[in-house]
Parts: sequence; C-alpha cells; structure tokens
Amino acid sequence: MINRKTCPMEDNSQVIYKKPSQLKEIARRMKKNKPAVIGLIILTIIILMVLFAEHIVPYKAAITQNVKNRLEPPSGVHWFGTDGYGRDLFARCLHGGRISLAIGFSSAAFSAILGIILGSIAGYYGGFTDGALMRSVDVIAAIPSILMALAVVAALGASQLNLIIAVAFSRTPAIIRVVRTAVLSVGDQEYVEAAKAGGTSDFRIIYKSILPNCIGPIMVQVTMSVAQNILAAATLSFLGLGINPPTPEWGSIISESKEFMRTANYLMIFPGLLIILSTLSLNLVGDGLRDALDPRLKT
Amino acid sequence: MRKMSIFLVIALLVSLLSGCGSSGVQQPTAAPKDPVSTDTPTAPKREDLNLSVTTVLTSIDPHFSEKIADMYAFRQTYEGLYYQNELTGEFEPRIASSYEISEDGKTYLFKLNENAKFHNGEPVKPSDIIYSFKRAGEHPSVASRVANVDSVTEIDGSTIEIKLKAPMAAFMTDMCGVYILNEKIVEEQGAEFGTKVALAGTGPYYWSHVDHANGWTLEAFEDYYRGAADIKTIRFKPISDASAGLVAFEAGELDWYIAPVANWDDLVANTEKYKTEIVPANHISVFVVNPDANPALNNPLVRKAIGHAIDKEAMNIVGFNGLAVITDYMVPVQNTSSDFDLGIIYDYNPEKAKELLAEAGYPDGVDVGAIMSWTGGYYEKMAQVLHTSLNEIGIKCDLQMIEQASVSPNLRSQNYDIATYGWSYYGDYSYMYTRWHSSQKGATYVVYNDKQFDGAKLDALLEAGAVEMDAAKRTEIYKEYNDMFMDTATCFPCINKVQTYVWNKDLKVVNYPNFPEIYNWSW
Repeated sequence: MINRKTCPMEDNSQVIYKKPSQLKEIARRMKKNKPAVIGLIILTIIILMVLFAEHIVPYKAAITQNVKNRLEPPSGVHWFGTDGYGRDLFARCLHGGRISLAIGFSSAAFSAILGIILGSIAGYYGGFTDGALMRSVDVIAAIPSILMALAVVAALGASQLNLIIAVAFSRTPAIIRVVRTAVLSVGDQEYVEAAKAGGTSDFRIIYKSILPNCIGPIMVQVTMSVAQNILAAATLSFLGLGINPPTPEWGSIISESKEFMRTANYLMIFPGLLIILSTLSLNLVGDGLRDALDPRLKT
Repeated sequence: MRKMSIFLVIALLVSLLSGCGSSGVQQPTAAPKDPVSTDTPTAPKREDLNLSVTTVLTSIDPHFSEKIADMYAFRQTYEGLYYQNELTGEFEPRIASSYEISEDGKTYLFKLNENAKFHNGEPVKPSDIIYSFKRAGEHPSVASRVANVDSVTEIDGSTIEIKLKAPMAAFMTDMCGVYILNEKIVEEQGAEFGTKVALAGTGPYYWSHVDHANGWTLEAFEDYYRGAADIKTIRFKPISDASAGLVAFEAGELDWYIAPVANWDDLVANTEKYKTEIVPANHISVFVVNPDANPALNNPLVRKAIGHAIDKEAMNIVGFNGLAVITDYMVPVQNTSSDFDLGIIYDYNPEKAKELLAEAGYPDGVDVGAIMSWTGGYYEKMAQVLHTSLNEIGIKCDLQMIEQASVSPNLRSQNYDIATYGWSYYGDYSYMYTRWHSSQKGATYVVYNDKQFDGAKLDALLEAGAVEMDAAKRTEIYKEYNDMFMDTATCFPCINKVQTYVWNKDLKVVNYPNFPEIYNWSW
C-alpha cells in the first residue's frame, strides 16, 4: 500500500509517491488487530503499574510482617488481602511484578543476543559451522527447557541473575533456529551477493544487509519468549528455585500461598491472574506482531 | 428440527406421567420379609488401612535406614529385644521377655521370649540376635546404637548376655532400635536384602509387597506371639505434597493423616467425619549461630542480641498456626530428663537486643551474613520471621534458601552463618550425644571450632550424661549442657513441633509423638 501525497497547488501536474516507513506500516497493521491492541493496552497498564509500584504502594508494605493481621481477606485497607505473614498482598503482587517482568524481558534479551549471534553464524556460513552449531543446539533442545533451567539454577544457586541465565539458556535454542532459518532465507539474495562481491566484511554483511531483513520473525519469537520466560521463572520460583524470600515474585507468592489454597484462595488467585494477564497480553501482542510483519498478510 | 420437537414433547409427557405415577398412584411394593431387612445393611467391618508418607521407601533393611517414611513400616515389621513406649517412656518386652543388669551397669542378661518367631515361621535363635547386633554395628545409620557394646554372647539357648564398654544410661533406649533379623534370610538375599520382600522380621506385620516408589503393603502376621493384629492389611503410599495428601484423606483414600496446620481448624470442626488430636512431637526446631563465620558473629554480644530478637510466638503462628509449643530446651519438655529450670533464657526483647548491639560496638547495626534454611515448610517460615526481626533491630542479613539435602553437609562443614535446623529425639536425652559429640563425625550436625565454645567441655558433659545412672545427677548434667549453648548464644531452641493427627471417625487409634503402632489400632 502506498500513501499518496500531493505537491503544492502551483504544480498540480506533479504527483509524488512516497513509500511510508516500515515502522508506520507495522503500527498501522497492528492497530487493525483488535486482540493485539487489547493485549498491548493490558501489557502497558501492567508495566506502568509495576514501574511506578513504589509510588502506588511502598516496597516496605510488601515485606513488613504483621502476624496479627495475617490471612485477612481483601478489604479497603488491603486490596488483595494479607498473606500468611500478614504482608500486604497487593504490594507483594505489584513489586513482585517487577521481578517477574524483569526476568521475562531480561532473559528474552539475553537469549535474543545469543540466539542472533549464533543463528547468524550458522545460517550465513553454513557447511561444517552450521552443522556443528545446529547439532549442539539439537542436543540442548532435546532436554526439556524447564529441566534445563532447573539444572542451571541448581548448579549456580538461586538468585535473580541466575534465574535470568537459567531461563535465557533454556530459550536460546528456539531463537537460534528462527534466526538461522531467517538468515538462510535472505542469505542468497542479490544484494547480499553484491555486498560479498564488493568485498564487504562478513560482519558488516550480516549486521547491515541480512539482519535488518529478517528482524520480523526474530521480533515475534522474542516477544513470545517473554511470556514463556515469565511462566518459566514463576515455575522455578514455585518449585523453590527462584528468588530468595522475602523478595516477592509472582511464582514464589503462589508457592507460599499453596498451603492456604482452601482457606484463603485469594492468595493464589491474584498473583495467578497477573501471570495470566501478562502472558496472555504478551502472546496477543506477539501474534499481532507476527501478522503485522508477515508480508503475505499485507492489506 | 421437527423430529427434535416431537422428541422433546414425548420426553416431556413421559416425565410428567412418571411424575404423576410416583406421587399420585401408590405402586405395589413387596412387603418386607422381616423388620430387620428394612434397616440399612451394616457395612462389613474393615480390616485394611491406607496410610501415606511424604517420601519414597529407601529400603526395607532396618539397619540401613532410619528415615521417617521407612520407620513407619519398620515399627510394624521389626522388633528389638525390648520396645520403648513413646508415650510413657516405659520399656515393654518383645523378643526378650525379661532382663537383668549387673551391679556395675555393664552387663545385661536378656531372657528370650520362647514364642517369638520370624515371619517365615522360624523361632528366634540367640545366633540371630548376635548376628543382628554385629550387623547393626556395620551400618552407619544405626551403628551409634551399638557403639558402646563390647560383646554379645549366648549363655544358653534362651539367654543372651550383652556386655558394655562402659555403663550407659541410654543403653536400653538404644537397644530398642536394634532390630533383630533372621540371619539365614539376610545372608541368602545378600546385597539384595532391603530391596525386595523378605520375611526376616518378627513384628506384628510382614512385608507382602514392595514398590519403593509407588507404594508398599504389610499384612498381619497371624502367628505373632502377642496375637494377630486386628487390622490385617496396611497400604503405604508416598504423597509428598501435604495439600495433596489432605485431599486424598478427605476423599477417603487415606484413613489417618498428619494434616497441614493451615487446615487444622476446618478439620477439627468436621467432627461428623473425622477425629483429630494434637500430640507434641519429639522434635525441636532451633537456630544455630556459627561464631566462626564472621567478625560480627564472633562477638558474643551480637549473638546474644540475635537471641533476644527471636520472636518465637510469631514463628509459632506463622509456621505452625499457633499450635506448636514454644521452648528453650534442646529436647522436648515432656522428656523427664528435661525437668529442670534453665539458667539462661532469651526472651523476645528487641530493645534489649539493640542495647546489646550498641554494647558490642554496632549502634548503627551490622551485617551478619545470611540465614540458611531449606526451602519450604516451617523452617523457611521461621527463617523469614527471624530475618524481619533482625532487620528491625539493625542486623542486616540475607536469606539463603537451599535444598533439604544440602543443609546437613553445609552445617557439618561449618559453611553457614545462622541456620535453621532441628532434630527428633528418641527416648533419652543422651540421644544428643549422637548429634553433638565430636566423635560422631557421621551424625554430628554442628561443630564449633571457635575457642569461645568449649568443645571439650561439651564432649565431657555428653559422656558423663550417657553413663550417669542417677536421674538427679543426669538432670544436672543436661541442665549444664543446655545452659552451655544458651551462655555462648550458639544454639537457640525455639519450637517443639506438634503432630496434627486426623483420622477416619470409625478407626480406633492410639497416637504417638512420632511413629504409629498399628498393632494397637482397630476398626
């Protein structure tokens, strides 16, 4: 689709056709996708609340124990109620979101960087390099990702950084595959051949000519992996291999609350809903991005 | 669509007519043959029992393991010469019918019960007892029970003499845990013993099915010398998650269960379906403080400040729903040897803790490292409560959550600053010997290298307590032992755990602090 702009009135005979920027085009297509827009709105609200958590409710409320007020149901004072230690659950969910989302996005970025580097090398050079790299990836991918993450956390110990490394490591093989496939699809294009013939360095060809042309599928994969990473981090925390207490994190909040599943189920419902909403919205945005970036779906 | 409408009309008519028939027209019914037949038929008396444990079965070899899940079955299948009743502390005869102690307290003569027999029908021979004591000494899990035994010899066909290296007050308690095995069966099975069904015990039940991971079954031994048990079949099933276990209990899949404390109030209220009882367990939860860990903890005033920052009441509420017993004793107060007044007690007093910190040279607070605890359960909760309490008085520390299996190795290697820990005590205060004496490398959980802590004195007290036969003198020894930890502020006993038992209302049980004796149960 081409936007048309008319030139000044004094020269009506000349019409200039200007190709809109790719970003604007993607945004326009995203706007048409209602589920993606809803997902984006929910995600934005969650991110804003989490970013400004300290201004909404201070962190101290998330870690201050008051056993006299333990297991209070949701009320005007404690919107989400209080947990088994008498801590404000709303504060814990809000501040816990910081950790959960930070792990989700950081590990996605981490695996994206690693995946792009290794996937590009495999796809661009092919041959033995490709074979060796991809068979190694196959070996890692053969291990269930949550098992891999468990092993990494068990080996390195439970901390936020180790959790990010563990989750990122388990997600990287998927990113490598996507990047390799994307690089392979554009690697034999004429402009790449031209760059090679012109003596451009391999790094510059990959960086300047190939990657910009396969950023779409990579973006989609990375966006989707954020949601998966949030779930993986929550799972590890639920299993007791996540962030050390009393630091709140959605998975650990649910883990701590499971013994009250029948007597104070709101302790599991609120953090559970936040996990569902954030992962659902990320998936909707990811789906929307995929459609928006797919040239076959251009309208 | 039309067919569907016709079908619905017919269905409606049929239901209306049938409704009229039941309410308006009395249908002929067969007269009862006799008045009794109108009663609800009595359900046949049950003879089976379904129980759960939290872990898989390690082994059926009672010399190989003393893990709780295994002990639940061992208590039903194996016996020692005597049995110490957990509730009364009394010794009851089992494979031996009587015993005598020499004046010097070093020689025990046991008269064997001539009716005692193994599950394969063979009578218990003196050679089986000699073999079992020797074998127990070769297995680390139970070796400490026979460490003081010098010799076991056969006097005649029905008498056994056990000579000790030194008099030992807790010998009878220890000896009760040396289960007697059938030498022939154990030797025949060789390395496989413990992994499959074996009729090598003498208890009221024998192993009939063993699947270490999924469940194991015991059947009543009909030739048991005290008479066959009322309950004929016991099925054990491992269920690690407490909530899942409770769901299984409420669904009728289990007949007796140790309920999660969070659900206790609901269960107690449901008297129509269940019976409940809280029994203090023989378990003490403590905080240990390593004086060698860092300069701050090396200062006794800082450690004492920690002692005054421990809010045991909050720990009881958070960790045990307020059901447990707060304690300052190293073993449960129900133990007769603990019947003494403590010289030093750390009450929860944050102001005093701050004063002690200031006196120690840290008026603005100090970093003491980390509180190590295993993930989940009441230990984690206790650690979280202490973490908050310490922060409130200015003591900074992290929480270090590790897997259960990693706790003991870290404690043994002194790789901790502050740690939660605990132990179940069995029968006699001198059980502490196996936990704290420097010679017990395999079993000791905490070793203090610091000069502040007089390890030699601790050893001497434990040795004296173990051989002292006079009850009053033993009490004095253990008071000094308990005070030693309090004085050095290196170990703070906090909670005496309770068992929250819940069971089917039709089941008649006798609950014990640690292990059920199902021989005494019936429907």
